[in-house]
Amino acid sequence: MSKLFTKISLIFYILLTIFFIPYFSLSSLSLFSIIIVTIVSFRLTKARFLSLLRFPYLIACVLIIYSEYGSWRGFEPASILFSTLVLLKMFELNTKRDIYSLILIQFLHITSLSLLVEDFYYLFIIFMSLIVCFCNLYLVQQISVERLVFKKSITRILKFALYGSPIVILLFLSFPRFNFGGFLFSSSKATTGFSEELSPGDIAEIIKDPSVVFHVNFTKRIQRFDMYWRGQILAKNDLFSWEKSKLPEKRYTEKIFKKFDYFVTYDTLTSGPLFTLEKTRKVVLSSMGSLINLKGNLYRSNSIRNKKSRYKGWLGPELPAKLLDNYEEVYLQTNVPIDSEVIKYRNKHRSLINKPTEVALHLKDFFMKSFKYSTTPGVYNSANPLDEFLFRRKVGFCGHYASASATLFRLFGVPSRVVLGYQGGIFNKVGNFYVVTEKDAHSWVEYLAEDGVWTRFDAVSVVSPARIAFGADAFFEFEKLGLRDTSIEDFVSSRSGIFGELRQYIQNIYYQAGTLFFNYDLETQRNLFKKFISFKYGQWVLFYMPYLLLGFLLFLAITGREKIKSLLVFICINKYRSLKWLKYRTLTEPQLIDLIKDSSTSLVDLILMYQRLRYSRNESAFKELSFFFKAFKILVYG
Amino acid sequence: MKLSSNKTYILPSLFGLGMIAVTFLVFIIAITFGHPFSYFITFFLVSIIVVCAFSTNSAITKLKTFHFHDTFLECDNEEMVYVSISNREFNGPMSVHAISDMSVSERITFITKNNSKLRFSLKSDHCGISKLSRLKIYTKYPLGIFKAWKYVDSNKKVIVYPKRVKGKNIQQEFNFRNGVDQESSYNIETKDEFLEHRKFRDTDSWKHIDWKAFARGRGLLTKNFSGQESSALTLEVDRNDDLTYLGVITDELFRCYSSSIETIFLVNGDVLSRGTNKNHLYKCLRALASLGAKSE
Repeated sequence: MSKLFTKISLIFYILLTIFFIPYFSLSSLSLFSIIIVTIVSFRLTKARFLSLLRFPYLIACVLIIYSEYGSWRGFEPASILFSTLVLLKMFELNTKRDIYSLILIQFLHITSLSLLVEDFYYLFIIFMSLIVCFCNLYLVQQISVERLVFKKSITRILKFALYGSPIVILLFLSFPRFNFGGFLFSSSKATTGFSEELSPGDIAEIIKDPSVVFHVNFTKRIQRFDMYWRGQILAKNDLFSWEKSKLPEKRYTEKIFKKFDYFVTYDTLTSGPLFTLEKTRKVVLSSMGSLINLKGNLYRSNSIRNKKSRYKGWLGPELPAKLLDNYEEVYLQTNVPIDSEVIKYRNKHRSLINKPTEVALHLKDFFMKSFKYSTTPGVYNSANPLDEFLFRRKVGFCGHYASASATLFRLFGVPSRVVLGYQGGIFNKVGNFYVVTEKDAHSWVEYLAEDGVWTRFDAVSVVSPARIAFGADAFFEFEKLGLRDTSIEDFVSSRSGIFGELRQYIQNIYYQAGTLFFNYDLETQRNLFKKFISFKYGQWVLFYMPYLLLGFLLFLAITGREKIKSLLVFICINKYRSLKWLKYRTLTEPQLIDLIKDSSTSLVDLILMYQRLRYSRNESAFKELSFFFKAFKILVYG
Repeated sequence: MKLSSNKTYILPSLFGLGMIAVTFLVFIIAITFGHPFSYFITFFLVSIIVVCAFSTNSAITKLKTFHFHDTFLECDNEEMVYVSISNREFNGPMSVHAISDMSVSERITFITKNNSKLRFSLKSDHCGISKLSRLKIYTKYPLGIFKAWKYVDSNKKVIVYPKRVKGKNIQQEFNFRNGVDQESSYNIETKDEFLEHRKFRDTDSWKHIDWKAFARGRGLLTKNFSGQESSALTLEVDRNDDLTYLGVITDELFRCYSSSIETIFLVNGDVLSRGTNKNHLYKCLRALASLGAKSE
């Protein structure tokens, strides 16, 4: 038994570690390998001194944790510690008790590993790991009765999982999920790829990460071209770089009374800037936390219990900016050397000064003529990178274009600012929602038009219109593959095959599971309840529902009790042997007894009782009631 | 407090308590970090624990029909007793523990399709006939998280017969007990073996009258002989016999039974049983058990 379980546990451990390899450091992986080699040699040679190495290995593990993380806090130290403990326990799997303790440590090990990940497919790995642990338990119990029942153990545990699934769903729906933020080792991190500064090239780093930022559900149709998700505004210029500064304007206070236009569910963010569409005039946070309405039509959420943010957004009309008197100090500030080529360019086109629309058109022409869009434009490290970009290399990513065009706007006397956020998203036909990933990270410019409205200017839309039209995901993949003979249109249509649809289905499951289960919290439960209450007759139904149900059941029991009894007997018989309803109707009670007399004695009793109740008059209600209890008992216990 | 025999009881096993503690720890981790997968693990563990509780409970509840027999037990000796259970009443192969008040050690039975007999051990220091004490059967099937048990009552008896004393010749014992004038139970004339008593008839020979019985006040009785020379061994016991003698008789009884030698068993001069079969053996053992109880 000990050999078998050491083998099973080792294979299981190695497979599990392979899945989680990216989350372990090289030194910890080396330690695990050394311990595995020691266990194998200990089992082969039976050399006692090898088992004495357990304590030094434990000290080595502690030292690795201390040297790499410098703390016990955190998921990584916990997972390394539990991984080592599981391995060390494998040295001494001699009795049933040892196997039981190993399985308990394995449960904690799986939990510690699960904290490292949030990707949906890891859920499957975690589920399978739990199944393996329970199969081991079943094997420990059964190994003395039957030999090697691996297959049977898996089917038995999967059966248990199936029986237990209603409990899991019920717990997921009814159990309010929240956390105590900061309790024990908890730490909350806000994760958006953006910092409060923009140097051209920053965004090219962000788009390398394919992780999902948020999902959006629209209640009305919005084109991808208009999906500019604003998160931060940078207004302080330093030649080719931009920084955050205080915005000289007031907040919008217009009230909107209509149904929300879009609903955003974040995947990772707990506290931080909310990415909203340009014309968003109202935002209401659906998750627990507080919402801050920032200047520049920006929003920020502060999560209370470390919950992921969810919000509803309302779109409104375009409104002129409520600027303060000193707005030009901020929105026209530049830090460009006087002798630079860009100043000479401005002086050459002096006629455009203070004409926002004309400047915008001019800049579109300017960029469209000879500029190139590239995710790898190289580093601009000359003394004046702005000149280098605009007049010599002319290759850049969105950050370069946004930075340069905002500076140019300002040089032409048009107030402007750089906006950071996301553009577009991948549409999921199955679930009718958009998925915005880090790949969609984008930056663009807003300039103050003649009517006082902040107007979007995105140079990328003219330099590389395909990026905006087909979305970042398709565009970057097309670029990466370097398909010169195929157009991007053909490439996009070729992607929508079986695999594309399968991907959408998986995405939809992930989103729905996330909304319905994993991010489901106390508030959503309340909302569900409120929804029901807000229904016109909701309260009435809610109050009288139990009585109605009870009454209906009583009515059924009194009027159709004969049929129910017959149906119950039929179901009970079918538990033991398959019998069709039509045939069942033609058989008499003695024939039924003949049919099942070898299967169950209690069922024979039930049929006799059924016969008695059916053919005798004035049987007491208690006897009838006991028939139902007996039938249910047979259904449950057999 | 004596728990009822008709109910099934269930409690977490030691491992089950550990499992519940781990589940609680995972739950604390889940609410601390708010991580959805930890919630999943917690809920999954809870669901399996609940399903397992139902399964363990049903496994033991289903075992309802037990076929007990009268149990013959040698004094001071641990014996294995088997109880048949119905084939239809168990889910699948599982281990069931059985223990009774008279058990010294706990026995595990692995119930499979081929084996549906539950075993448990019994031991007693005193001879006699008593009611079989109630049996506790329990199982940890299928995952060992819960232990479900029930008590089974039986109306059958435990017959504790005297400990077998080996190595002593039965004739020596007779001589030691009755002196040399021990009267033989054979018909001296024909060497026929004594069969039974019957009422004296006028036509009977006076030689066949059992005067010993007459002296004891039982009236005139004629000895009936088998009519042919018999190899049957007569074993006679008395209410005043001590345990050693009863042990010798028991041993002789078993020896004869195993080698199919016919025995005539007399208690206080009366023939209790005669034969070679099991029923005869049991009849004799019962008598020995009650005599053993008296001599103690």
